Amino acid sequence: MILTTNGSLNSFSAGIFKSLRLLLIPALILTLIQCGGPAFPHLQPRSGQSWLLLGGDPGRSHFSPVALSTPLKLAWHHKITAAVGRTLLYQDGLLFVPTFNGKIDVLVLRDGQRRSKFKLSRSTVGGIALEGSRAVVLRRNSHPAVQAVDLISGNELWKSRGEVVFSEPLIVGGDLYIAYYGGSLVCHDLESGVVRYKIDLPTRLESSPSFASGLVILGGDDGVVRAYRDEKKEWEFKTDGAIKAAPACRDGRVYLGTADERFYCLDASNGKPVWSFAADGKIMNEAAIDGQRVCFGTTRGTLFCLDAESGKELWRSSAKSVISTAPLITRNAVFFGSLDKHIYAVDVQSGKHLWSFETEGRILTHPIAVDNSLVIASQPENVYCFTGAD
Amino acid sequence: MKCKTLPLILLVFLALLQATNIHAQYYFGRNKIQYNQFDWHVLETEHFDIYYYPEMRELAEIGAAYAEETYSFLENKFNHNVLRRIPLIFYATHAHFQETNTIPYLIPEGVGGFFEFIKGRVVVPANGSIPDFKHVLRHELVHVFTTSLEQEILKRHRLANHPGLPLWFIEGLAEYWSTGWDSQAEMFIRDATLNGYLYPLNMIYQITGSFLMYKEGQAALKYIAETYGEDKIVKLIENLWMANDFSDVFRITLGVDYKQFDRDWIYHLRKQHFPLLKDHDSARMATEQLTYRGINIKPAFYGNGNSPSIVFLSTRTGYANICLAPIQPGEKEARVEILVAGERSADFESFHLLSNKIDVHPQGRLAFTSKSGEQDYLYIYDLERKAIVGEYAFANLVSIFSPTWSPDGSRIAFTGLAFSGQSDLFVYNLESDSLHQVTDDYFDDKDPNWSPDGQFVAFSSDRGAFGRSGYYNIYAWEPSFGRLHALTNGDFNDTAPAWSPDGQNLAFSSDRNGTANIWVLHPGGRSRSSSDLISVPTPKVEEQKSSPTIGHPLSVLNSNRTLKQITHFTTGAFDPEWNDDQTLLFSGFENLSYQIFLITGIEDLIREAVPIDSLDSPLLASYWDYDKLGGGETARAVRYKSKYDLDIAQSQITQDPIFGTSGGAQLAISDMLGNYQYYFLIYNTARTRDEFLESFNLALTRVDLSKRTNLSYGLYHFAGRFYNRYDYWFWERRYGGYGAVSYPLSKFKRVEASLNIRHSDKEWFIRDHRRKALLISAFGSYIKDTSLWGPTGPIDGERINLTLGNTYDVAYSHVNFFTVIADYRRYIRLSPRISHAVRLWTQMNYGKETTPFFMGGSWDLRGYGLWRIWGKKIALVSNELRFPFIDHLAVNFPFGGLGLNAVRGALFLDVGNAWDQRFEGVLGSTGFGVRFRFGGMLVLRFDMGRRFYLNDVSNFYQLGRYDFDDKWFTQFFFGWDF
Repeated sequence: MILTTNGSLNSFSAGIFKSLRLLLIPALILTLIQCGGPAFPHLQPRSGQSWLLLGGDPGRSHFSPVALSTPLKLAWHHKITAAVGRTLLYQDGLLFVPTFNGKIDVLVLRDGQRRSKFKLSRSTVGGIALEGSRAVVLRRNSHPAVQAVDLISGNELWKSRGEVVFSEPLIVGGDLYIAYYGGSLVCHDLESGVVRYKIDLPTRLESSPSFASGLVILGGDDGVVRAYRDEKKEWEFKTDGAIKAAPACRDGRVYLGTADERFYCLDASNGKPVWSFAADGKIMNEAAIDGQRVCFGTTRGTLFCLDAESGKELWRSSAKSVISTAPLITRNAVFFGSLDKHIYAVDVQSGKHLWSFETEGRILTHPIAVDNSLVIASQPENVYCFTGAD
Repeated sequence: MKCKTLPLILLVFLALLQATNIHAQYYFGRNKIQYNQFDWHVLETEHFDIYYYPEMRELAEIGAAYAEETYSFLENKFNHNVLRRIPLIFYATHAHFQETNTIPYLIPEGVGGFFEFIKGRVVVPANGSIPDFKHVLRHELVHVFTTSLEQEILKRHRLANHPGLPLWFIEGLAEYWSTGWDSQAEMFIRDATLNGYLYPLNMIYQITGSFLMYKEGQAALKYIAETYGEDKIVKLIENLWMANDFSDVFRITLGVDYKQFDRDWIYHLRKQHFPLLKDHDSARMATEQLTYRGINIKPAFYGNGNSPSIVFLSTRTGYANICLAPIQPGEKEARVEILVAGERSADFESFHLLSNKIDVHPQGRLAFTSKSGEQDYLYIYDLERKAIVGEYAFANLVSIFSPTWSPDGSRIAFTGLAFSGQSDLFVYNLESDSLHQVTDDYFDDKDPNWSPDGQFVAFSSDRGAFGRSGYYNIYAWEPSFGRLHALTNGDFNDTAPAWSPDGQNLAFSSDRNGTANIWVLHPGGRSRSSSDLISVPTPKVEEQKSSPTIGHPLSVLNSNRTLKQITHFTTGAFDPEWNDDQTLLFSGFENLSYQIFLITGIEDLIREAVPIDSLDSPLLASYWDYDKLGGGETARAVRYKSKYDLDIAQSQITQDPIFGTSGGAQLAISDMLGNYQYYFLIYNTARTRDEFLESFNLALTRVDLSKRTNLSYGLYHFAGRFYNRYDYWFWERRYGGYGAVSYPLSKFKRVEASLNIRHSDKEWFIRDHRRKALLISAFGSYIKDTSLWGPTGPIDGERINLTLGNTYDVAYSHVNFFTVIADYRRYIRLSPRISHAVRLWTQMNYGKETTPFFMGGSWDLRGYGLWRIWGKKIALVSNELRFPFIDHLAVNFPFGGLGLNAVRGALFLDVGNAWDQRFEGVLGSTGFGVRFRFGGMLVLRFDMGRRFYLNDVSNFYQLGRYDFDDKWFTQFFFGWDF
């Protein structure tokens, strides 16, 4: 493809030029891709086929309506160029994989091929969320801490300085919420990046904020769960242990576990405890909820499934080591990853073991299920995609 | 010659060194002796491969169960797992542990276990105490998890050169998560706070590696957990990637920097501990201090006619000795006499300083024990004659602790540690030369003490209900009836019971109120009810006889007895020892040291003390068992087979402006136990392409350390260009094989022999001459090393290396020379920190085509160029006065600070020369130098002085005949003092 510096074409025949023009745009796209800027002309979210933020929805429910029959089949295994972050996202057939070397790999779900790569910086990519064609990326320990990027053009939309951040962003109704490790909860306008308000809390924050009943809810290292409507605190509830994971919210209830080995259910309207449950180990990851049951894993390798209403134990299952991801509830199975390098599937009703797969390393990334596929990542640099048995 | 032959000599030397004793430092060094041929087995559990020998199978199973329990515990704590199988190597006793080849270094008595990084092995000895064994095992497994998580974090972020976690954090965490907070940690931190020597975190590097650093790290992490949340401890590791400097990671994670944290933490400790002074005292303020220098502990009273004295263990000279001193309270220490010098001879290798009591019979006989080679001996020392009058060793008892005399002097009770790792009470009858085992179980029974009427032996044991949690209580064994009585019972540690001379009181040390103090059990009247007798069944009791219907007055269930605390010290009081019914000796911990103190007016103290309200818990578990993990589904036992893993693989390229470029690689592999090692070296010194093949240098060595005789043999091929001032440039190719043996006579002495057979093809360029030879070299050495080291080199003891050898060309008779090397170094202690070092050194070759020697430089003849003085014979006499110069120097810059500790000074006089045929003239130097240790391992040296010469040796004693240089020389280099 040849262009002179003043933009005119040299003397090719019109027919050849027409053919070349047809090749021009894809070639341009490919050139941009190779330069690190993605172009996704058809990037529109389709209902039920997206996973745009931690937990799949603002309530962080870790629930997917897909039904995957076991034993699952390995569709593909892709080696990323660096260690994978905690959250995978999915939209329009594309998988977004954040890594520790400042890149976001974009893979095609169907075949695992790399479609593109964002290179933001050398720093570790922390949380990530999508909203339409916009991605919000948090960086763990560098400036800018927040970046909004247009996925189609690859351009930066806005950026903001911040502090160290370990949590995942929350996007709700045009607002972006970020919990910084130093104790600040900041609300940005998603469009412009302007800070709408900032609340300073007297604790370190690792837990990601969740959304329920109009409230932004998050837990702190001091063990306190706090709920805010705009800038005003609606309620708070004190537990006995540090809260590391985002609360899971659904049907007016807030579910969360603590490092003190207890799991709580609170009323989302007023923060009053509905029930609590003594687990056998620290609860460091999010729970999964589907309206009937709530599941969570512990550092003792136990997956508990409780009745969401009463807190009564329905069943428990186990891995050989720490359960290191949030569980994922689907229509027929619960999936969870462990430091023992395995991804497990147990029956959602009985907890009976259905299937497991040994990966190359510890599993630290939450599994997601989209478009009849289960996608997981394991350390150091592996992404796996499984499909249901036929 | 220097640059090229030196590597060759070094290689051959290193090969021979490996062949002789891999553990020697320089060509001296003490010896690690394999007294035992352990029949190693492996117990495979879910996460561990546990190496043990059959005699200690039960202990291995206890360890296996606890290791799996700990793995689960730490997995939960760290939120992390270890993916590889973890090798655990157990030893039943510390004596066995000292034989390990998993690391090349000698293991001091104070090392309780270690985790090494090359193969990721955890090596843990038992010492008779299961609680101690568990503590060490958990401590080391914390290291395993910490290292695993740290490496995972840095690998994830691709940080290969990160400095990692600081040592205070690593060791502090291992202590905190293996013991929590115990009375020992409380004692150290109280002492540091009250006496003002607590190091803040930003200065803690000054005590790197010390036990205080361990305890401070433990205390800091406890504070972090209580103030910021225990989750922050793991977060500090997980955030390590965020900054190279851990203080930045600290600030990011906790929100405070070191300075602010230190301020808050130290203030918190002061608030906690200073109020103690209202109701507690410092031992030196409330009692009479009898000793001041070094560590002084385990006192035993000696009547000594009209001059009451104490016999005790002391490290005042740097070596551990048994000392005698009159009891003379005052500001100054009384004259101390060394009765038995330890750590310098095979008979008295170690007195087990902190865990071993001594006892003096009123008739003037001292009973003590010492490690003597393979096992401990019980010694009887006559204090009048100042001589050993008896020594006893017992089959199957590896270690012996805390002997105590029966009142009539006919028997000695002690704690014996068997080959299996089991610790029990024994009684040795001196008259009948018979040994009786009193207990026979895995409970730890220690600190026995015979009552004045001979009816009871009190001792401390973990056999009670609270022993499962690692607590020790006091028991009494009744020899006549073979019964055991529980005298105290609770979740605290009661140790070192001592009967008063009238038998009415039993003093012991207890930490039931936080730190160790002296308590007295007082009968308060005898009960005559047989129901007051509490018998604690044991699996084996010496004799069972029917019991009389007389209740034991001190029994824990006797309502008449009283228990009173008679000392209230802020830190710790241990090992009470009665002088008479009114005075008591004890070891007190204060100002980071143990000293001996004297309490008077005991009767008044007992009368005034308030008895504790409630008696100890009546709950007495008669017997309980440790969890074990043995054969079956949870564990599998197999015989050990040597499998080899890579230890070291490194490559190197060097470039020299004269000698060109060379490159090579080195590999070392060994088996899991370190008994069998292989070394492979390859490098090439070709300067042109056509030299490439013939310039290959290879060496393959096998070292066998599994037996007492260390064996090494190998093959090699060395070729290259060399230079020396005799031969100028030459090319030599040598290939052949060698073998060497090293036999340790004791820890301090050994003999070595080596045989080297090689073909030599040598071509001199300047002479245009080439010769071949088939050389056989045979060498023999005698080495002795009893040196005691200070910060920059030896300060006491002596070192000897005497080597004789011969090299002969058996094919062409071109080479034939005899070698003598004699190196004698003596360090004469003038005061605790000043010594005079003397070195007498000669190396001589006599014969045909001899190899030259060289000297000169900071390591021998100072003031002269490094290795510039050559000859086929060299001789040197060095004198050096070594003294402290600067103890602490801190220099602060705007961008940081620099601290120097232990800078030593030296005044030296060196005299020597090198010659070929005739000794002509003397070279010498005299001057002043300073040395300081940098980074723990590297010693930097600076010398300045004046050279002098004497041409006519016959004028040696006429100082006026010496010619001194006008100018002063200065010399800066590195290396330990000779």
